[in-house]
Amino acid sequence: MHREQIQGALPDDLAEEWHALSEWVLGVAQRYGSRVTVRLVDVASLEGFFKSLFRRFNRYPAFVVNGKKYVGSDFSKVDDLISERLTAHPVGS
Amino acid sequence: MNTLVAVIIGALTVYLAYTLYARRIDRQVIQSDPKRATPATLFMDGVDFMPTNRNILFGYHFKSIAAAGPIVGAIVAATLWGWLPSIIWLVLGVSFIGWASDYSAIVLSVRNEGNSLSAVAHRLVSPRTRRVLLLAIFFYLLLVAGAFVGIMAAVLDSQPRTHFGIIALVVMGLLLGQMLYRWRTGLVGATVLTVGITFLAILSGPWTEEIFKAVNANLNALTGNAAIVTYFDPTLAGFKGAEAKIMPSLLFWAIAICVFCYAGSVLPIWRMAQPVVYVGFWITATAMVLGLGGAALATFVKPEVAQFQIPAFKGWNPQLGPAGIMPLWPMLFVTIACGAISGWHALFGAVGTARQIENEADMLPVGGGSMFTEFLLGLLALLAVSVGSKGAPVGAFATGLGGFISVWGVPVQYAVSLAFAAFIVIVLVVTQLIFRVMRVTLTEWLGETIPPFRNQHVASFVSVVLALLLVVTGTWIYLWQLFGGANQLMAALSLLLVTVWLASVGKNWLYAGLPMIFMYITTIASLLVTAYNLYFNVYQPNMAAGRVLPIVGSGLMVLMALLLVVAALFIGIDGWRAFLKYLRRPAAAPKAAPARG
Repeated sequence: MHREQIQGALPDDLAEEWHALSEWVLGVAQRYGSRVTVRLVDVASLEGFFKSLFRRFNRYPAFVVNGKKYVGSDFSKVDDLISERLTAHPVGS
Repeated sequence: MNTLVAVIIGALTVYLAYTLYARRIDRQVIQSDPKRATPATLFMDGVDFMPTNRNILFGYHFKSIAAAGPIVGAIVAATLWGWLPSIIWLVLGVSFIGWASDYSAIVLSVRNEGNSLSAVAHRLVSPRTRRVLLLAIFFYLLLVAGAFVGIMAAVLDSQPRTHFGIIALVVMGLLLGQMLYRWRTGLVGATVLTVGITFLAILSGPWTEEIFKAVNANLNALTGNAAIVTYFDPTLAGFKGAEAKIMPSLLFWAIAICVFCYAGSVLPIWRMAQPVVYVGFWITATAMVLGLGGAALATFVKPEVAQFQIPAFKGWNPQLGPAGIMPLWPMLFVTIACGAISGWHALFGAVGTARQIENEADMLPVGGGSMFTEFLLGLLALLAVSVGSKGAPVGAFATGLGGFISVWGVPVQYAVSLAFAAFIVIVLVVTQLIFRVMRVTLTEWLGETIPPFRNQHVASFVSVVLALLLVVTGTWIYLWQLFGGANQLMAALSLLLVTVWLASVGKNWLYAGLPMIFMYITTIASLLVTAYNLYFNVYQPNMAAGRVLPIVGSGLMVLMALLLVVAALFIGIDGWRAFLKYLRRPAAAPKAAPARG
């Protein structure tokens, strides 16, 4: 069932994007540790629907870092937003 | 008695059982620990093992477990024994057994690296138990599929107002998959478009009814309005029994449903299963919220749809057909399956939901919470029939639910169309999932010895044909009760595994063990009663009339009932031995799980 679900869950191009996103999320956890919390939301869900509605997203993947939005697969831009946020509000300050 | 009182009883049941009992077991026996890493976080692969927000997971789990069970079961039981025994079993069943079964199956899998019930049985009990369990699971799924396809085909055949909405649901599901995953459009726009069109198609049911009536008439004209199969049905003519006919139009809709399920089984999940479930969620959620709210408000706004009309108690052993017996024990407890307790929930919870639990503190709200919500669906169905809706179970449900929805000002004919569509949607999305699990189970069970079963088309085709065979040869009420027996038996076996596991880790096993004993004995007794009924009430009258297909169908169902009893006895003996083994040895220290990183 597990193998079966992996094969059928996403089209090939989206599966590749998902793997890239997973790698990036793991990298974020390694780079920033507990200073950054990442929450992934499945687009095709009730929560995905309301997040898309209230944040006005109509393309994915979409990111929100402390209220600032970015839509696209260039993860370095999300890294920049995270760094910007951490620089402006260092832990303990 | 009126619907407001029943809704209050339902709300109190959920509140008291959840806060006073379920939470206590979660805290004191299972000791769920939010800091303990779950399989979803340990083995995250983005597909199966995927940490998921508890609210989302609750929705997915509920949509995957809620089908015809809580609706048809409650209505049939109220018709046979009255509303009082039905509501008592719903309340006691969910409070002391149902939530415990669903929640514990998830706990069992989460604490055993996300393994399925059969894999846990292999490790904790014996390899033979795993093999017997796989066999029992396959036949159980076959009965579920047969019962659900049969019910849906009967509704589509007799209610042409539902056709357009259901066709629209399938088309809109496919369109949504294409929009989201290929064209990559935004979810909000795609939802508004696809769900909106599906709603419009459903509400246009009264206008499109004539077209589909003509389709049915043309199909039946193919055989000159002659039946394809004629069989003796003990449920007809006020439960005295009469001849029933399977017409070409019913066979056509049964085949159409099977084609849909076949496609759902072999196509990638993103292409069909997932988007159809998503669109269906909006339909069923709307109908349920409007229905429950309407049932509560009806006492004040529309009292004529709020007062109970059917007798509270009809007897301990109602007559069904010329030779049938229907004793309240054990048959009530398998006729109402999913609203009180269900094996499907445990099966799906262990293999699916458990692998998405983000945090151990989510196990109770997701597993137990979904079961309590399904209890409310069963209660809603019971209310729908108790206020006097007549006719076949699904018709009674739709008429009653339509009455409750009409409390909000929706014209009754549209409200009833929405209720019929909601029923079909609820059952259809789960049935396609069942065929998918059936295919995988068949491959796992027979794939090594018979290589063609590794091919997904062969395994799917065999599953679909077997289910169709049950539909055209079975007698629906016994197919339903056989499904109920198999379903409750699966729940008992799941509780058995939980009991053995609790004993193996030195925890108090009583909260699972006592319900297991009750369900194990009850379901075995019910399977024997159903086998008896099938033989004397269906097999013999059809044998006397020389009808081949009904003879084959009822004969096969008797064999399946007995096969399930034998499988249950084997698993019970192995489970008992394993339980004693763990009970007699000093308690092992629980395996330390890695901490959350």
